[in-house]
Amino acid sequence: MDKNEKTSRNENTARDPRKILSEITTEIRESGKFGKREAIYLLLEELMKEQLGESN
Amino acid sequence: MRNDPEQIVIVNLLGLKELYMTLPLVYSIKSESPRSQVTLVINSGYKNIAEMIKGIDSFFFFEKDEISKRLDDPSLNLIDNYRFIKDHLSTLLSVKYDLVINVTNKRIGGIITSMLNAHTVKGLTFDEYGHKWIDEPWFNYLNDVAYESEYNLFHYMDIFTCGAGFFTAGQRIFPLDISPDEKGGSQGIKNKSIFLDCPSLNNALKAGGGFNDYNIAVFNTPDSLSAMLSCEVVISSNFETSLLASLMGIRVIHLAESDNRDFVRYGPCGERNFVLSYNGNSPESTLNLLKKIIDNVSISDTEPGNETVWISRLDSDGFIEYVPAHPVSMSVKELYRWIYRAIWKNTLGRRIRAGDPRRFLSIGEKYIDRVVDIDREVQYIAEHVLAKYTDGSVKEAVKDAGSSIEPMEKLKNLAFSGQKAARDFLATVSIPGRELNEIKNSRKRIKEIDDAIYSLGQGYDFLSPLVASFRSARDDLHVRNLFPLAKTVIFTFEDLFSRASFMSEIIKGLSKNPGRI
Repeated sequence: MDKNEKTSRNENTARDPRKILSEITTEIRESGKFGKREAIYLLLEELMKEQLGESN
Repeated sequence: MRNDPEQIVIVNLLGLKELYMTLPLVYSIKSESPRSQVTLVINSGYKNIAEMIKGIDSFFFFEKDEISKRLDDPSLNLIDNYRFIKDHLSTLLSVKYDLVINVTNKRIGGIITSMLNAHTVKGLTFDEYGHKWIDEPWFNYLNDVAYESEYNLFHYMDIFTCGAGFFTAGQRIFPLDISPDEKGGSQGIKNKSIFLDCPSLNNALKAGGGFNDYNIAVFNTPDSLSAMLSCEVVISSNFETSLLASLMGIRVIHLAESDNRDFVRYGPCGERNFVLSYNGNSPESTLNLLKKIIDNVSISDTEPGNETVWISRLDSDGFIEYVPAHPVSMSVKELYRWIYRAIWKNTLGRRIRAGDPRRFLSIGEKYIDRVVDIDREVQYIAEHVLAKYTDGSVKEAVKDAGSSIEPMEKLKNLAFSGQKAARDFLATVSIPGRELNEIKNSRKRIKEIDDAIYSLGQGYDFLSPLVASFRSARDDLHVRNLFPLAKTVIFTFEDLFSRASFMSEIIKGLSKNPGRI
């Protein structure tokens, strides 16, 4: 992967908050730590899922 | 002795129906503990409605719509939205609560509940490891079983109050402060007045339909709800309107599509309200029945066509139930609904009332052996439900149910074996220095029993609520510490054993006494 491709990929990731959020919440689940900060990210994810009709 | 009033917060991030159904819980809390400060967390979309509700000390309006909008706004990044939520929740999170009651059966409610600084939590929450946690049988039922109307026969209002530990038997009607709009439609509504919120019947009623002598106010906008106060009867196909009217003590006839049993969860509460299940093919027949109900003409002797009329009442324990107003045919599924009602009421409710929610039973012992009089339950179902409200088909249904005792016994035996295996597991993890292999083998045995239970549930539809509840409790278990895990596994097998035993005993009881029906 050349430098330009890497930069472009990073930019795409930066433009897609859903993808970033998904990565953060995956890390949270794997970490096994759950405080207020983690809860807010999971809340954001849940609201996004509700928008997409994926939530329970 | 502490002098501060008790701080209680109720998290209800569901719809308008659920908001109305939470109000009796608030009033139970306030009547039991008048000095308590009750905060209700609701979606901000219901702010206008909230202003009409008396008796709640404060509201927190969760800006769900605003957050959703922000999530769609490309000019805002994740950090902006994170900060917005943090600031938005800060006032709610700054209080130390004595009790948090989360009636929201969605993860979103559980996440907010987990953030609150609370001494006691009832309802769905997440622990410090992010694992789902519901330490209350009725709220387990709400999350695992109640959303399936197939085998649920409890009103959400009762589930909320039982789960919160504030259930009181009896009529729970209270006034809402809906001031009649002076410019609105309440003028001119006099005696024999009906408030109608059912678009499919508007034309039929305007055309006469035998209602020429009545004053009819039609629901147009939320403002026209004020006209409802001046009416004697509310006819509605809208659960929100039906609930609101019944909570204010106005007689309700709720119109439900035939075969849809959602009214059991959301229907008009209190006593002597009606639900008319109809298929919409014959408005004349529907109007005829409506008129009979309104005019207090007995419908028990009539033979409704495709309609079924249900009456709301409070059962012997004070729970809302709907019974047919005329003899109806009884399917095995319908029979199982009544049996499940008795099972849940006893295995969820009595334990709480006994004040001993989590204790080991000896293997094979059932809660019902200690606290439940099976014959009382059989007698109630047989004499107060089946004999009164069903036609001759009920005997066939009881006979069919009798043939299903064998798989129920099988489930009971599996739960019995599970209890034993789970206790062996507990013994294994309790003794220091045990080999890892021993622990593994012990867990393997439990998994084999779990699998057999799941496959039995797939094979027999009538067992599915018991197995679904067991399965859900199992899916929520995570390995944190083997000792509490083993204890919780024992409890899940005990619950299953009690419920399967209960079901088996009731069907046997009904089969033995066909004369009662």
